[in-house]
Amino acid sequence: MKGLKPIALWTGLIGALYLLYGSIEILMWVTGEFPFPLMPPGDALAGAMLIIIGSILLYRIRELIAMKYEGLSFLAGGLVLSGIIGIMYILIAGADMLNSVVVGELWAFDPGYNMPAIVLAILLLPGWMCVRKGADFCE
Amino acid sequence: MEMPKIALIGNPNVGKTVVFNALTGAKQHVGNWPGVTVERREGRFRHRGLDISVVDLPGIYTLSPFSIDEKISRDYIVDKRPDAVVDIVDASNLERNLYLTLQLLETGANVVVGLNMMDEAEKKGMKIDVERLSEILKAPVVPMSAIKGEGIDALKDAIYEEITGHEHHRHMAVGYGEEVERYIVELEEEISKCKSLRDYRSRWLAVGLLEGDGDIICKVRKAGCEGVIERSESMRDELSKKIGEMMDIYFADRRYEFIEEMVRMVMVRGKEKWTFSDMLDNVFTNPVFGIPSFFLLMWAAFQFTFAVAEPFMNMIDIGFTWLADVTRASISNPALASLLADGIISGVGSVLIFLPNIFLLFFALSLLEDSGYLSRAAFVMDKSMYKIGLPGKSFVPMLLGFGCNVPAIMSTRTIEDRNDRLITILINPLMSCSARLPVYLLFAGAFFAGNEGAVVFSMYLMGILLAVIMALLLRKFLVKGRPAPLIMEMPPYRMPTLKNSLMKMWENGYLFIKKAGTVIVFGVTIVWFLSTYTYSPDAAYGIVMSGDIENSFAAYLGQWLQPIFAPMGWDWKAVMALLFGFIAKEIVVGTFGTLYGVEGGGEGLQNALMGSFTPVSAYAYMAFVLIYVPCLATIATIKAETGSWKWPLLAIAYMMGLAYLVALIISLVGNALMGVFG
Repeated sequence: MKGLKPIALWTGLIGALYLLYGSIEILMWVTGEFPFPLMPPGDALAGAMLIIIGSILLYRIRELIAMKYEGLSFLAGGLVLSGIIGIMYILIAGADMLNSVVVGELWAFDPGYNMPAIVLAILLLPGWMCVRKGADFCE
Repeated sequence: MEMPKIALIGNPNVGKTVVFNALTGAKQHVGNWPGVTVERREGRFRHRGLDISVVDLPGIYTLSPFSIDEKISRDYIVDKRPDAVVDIVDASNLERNLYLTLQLLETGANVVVGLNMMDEAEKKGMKIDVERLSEILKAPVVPMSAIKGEGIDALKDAIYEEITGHEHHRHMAVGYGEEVERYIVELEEEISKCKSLRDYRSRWLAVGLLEGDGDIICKVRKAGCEGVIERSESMRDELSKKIGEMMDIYFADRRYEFIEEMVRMVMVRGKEKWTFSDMLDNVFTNPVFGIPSFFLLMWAAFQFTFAVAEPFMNMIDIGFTWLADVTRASISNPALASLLADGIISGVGSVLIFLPNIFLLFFALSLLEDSGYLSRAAFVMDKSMYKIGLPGKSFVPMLLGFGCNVPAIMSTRTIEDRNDRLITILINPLMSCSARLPVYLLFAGAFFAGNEGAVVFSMYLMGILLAVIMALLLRKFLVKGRPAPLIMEMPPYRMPTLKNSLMKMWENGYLFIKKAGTVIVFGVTIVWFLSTYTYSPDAAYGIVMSGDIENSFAAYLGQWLQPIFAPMGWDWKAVMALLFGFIAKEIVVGTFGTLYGVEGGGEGLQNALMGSFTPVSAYAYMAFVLIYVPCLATIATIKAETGSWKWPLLAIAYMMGLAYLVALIISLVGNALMGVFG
């Protein structure tokens, strides 16, 4: 049971990063350029989606740390949504690579792939350990 | 000897269609939400040398029907009397499912119980004594997990045994108490005197009459047994006074008591724990996060659809461009070469290029459906829908409308209230069907590069918003009353299977291909003719190839209509595309392809359009295509479902007016903003 608490804290940290990156993405959409490489592409809707995931992950973080089902449920919801968005961006990058083969162009990394959303989805994966050990949680 | 017939029945979303497909090898649409089957479907299978016909009936909770699909099921069981009735029961929800089982047994049908979703029950820590359940029900009970293919052979064996008569005529009956049983027996005697009722089981009729079941009273009246009805009415009044309770409630209570006792004997529950479904429900139906999660998932579906389709679209584009070049080079007759290359290949190619988008959208939607999420979406949206005067049940047909409005309108049969159903039918064409997607993709790619996904998403949102406004107006002025509250079952979340999702994707994509090969070929051939030929008094039959599209029949017709759309800044070609879109919305893009003579329809057509539209006029055009008139097939379905021409004509009229108004507003506001900011 003790082993799960650091994971719960870790998912809280990832949730905060989701909020941060989502806000940066919206900020980029409002202001235009942002001087960091591999940053989100400045898509306001995509930013809003990252904020939703971050909020879900953080909404019941106290209950998650206290090993309650209520907290675990929000981690499960956040994991599912983060996985869907992460896989979606990976597929978009893969399709773009295929497209460069089809039209005969050289493939190059595009910030539109939303690297932070992919990285955060991967970093959140340890959270599944908590869901798998759901029996250790209580009402 | 006539082929034995069996019926599949059960509560909604217990896996009847999966069982039907497993038995017959059919590929019927399977959904993880209630109401997938709204019409009965037939198939057949062979077991131990015996051919057996199977009918898949819509899901019902009781044999007292409230909606059209429930009536279809009950009438089939009671009037057609199949050789066996296979009652599919959700093992993880025994109490609720067994109510229908008891009612089926009361009719005297040869019931085989398919105890489906045993895996779900085990996950919840439930252990069911199947043999004991079978003993109590006096009917064969087959444990199964149909989605995994487990228990199908055993079910076939049980059906065979039932049909071949080895286990016939075991009628388990619920005891309704000494006093009530006396009345039942007395009424049964009365019923047995009426010869025309001999086809029905007398106990079932007696119980139904004492309950006051309107449908059974109708049957008895039709049989000309008024005396039985009069006797039952006086008995019902007497009993009701004695018991101090309405009789229908009394009978339902006794059945539930019986079920409770039976479940206690056959099932052991494990320690209460949250399943993964419980956890996800806590978030996806949460008052704060339910709606944002819904928007996130829908947004992801559209992003996926748009971005992942691109390489496949380019492949089709390259293929059609090559085909048109080869056709032009190989055919010496200029008229025929033009018909094939500029007419059919350009027109059909410009529509088929969007096939990957259609496939991917349906793939994404089928993943959401099969996972069980769409039921949650209906639940989350119910509160908002109730406020606009629509029942939560309207959400399912509205979502189906994103695919095609025709099955979506047919699926409104699950809505019990006629007024609720009528409003849902009338606003359904505002749900953006897949036929409109190619138009959005063409214009979004040309005028909103980099934000295509968001622009296409905005069209879908606009359709929903307009549907909400129209529902409010219709409820206020035309179809008054309050919507019925939503009672909906939440199926457990399940991992969608790739096979099922690909199957649905293919079914819907195939319809699109079929349309491209028929209606669209026909449409673009007419467009080609009108845009290639012109009137000449000196020519034979008065027509001649014009050589210049601006002097063609299409140009004359388009220029004649164009002033109506001048405030939006659309040229005659855009007007012609709208005109042909009356037949089917896909033809809008095909018409552009033919009128501009661009093969494949990808970037070439987009570049051509950029000379005729501005971003504002393009967005207004997309909105007009979203809203204006339903396609011919949808109009025919509205007529069939409402039984009157009044409603399809109303839909055409309001949608034309609304489309013009919205496009005009977008043009005026957009141009004013461009003037200020641009």
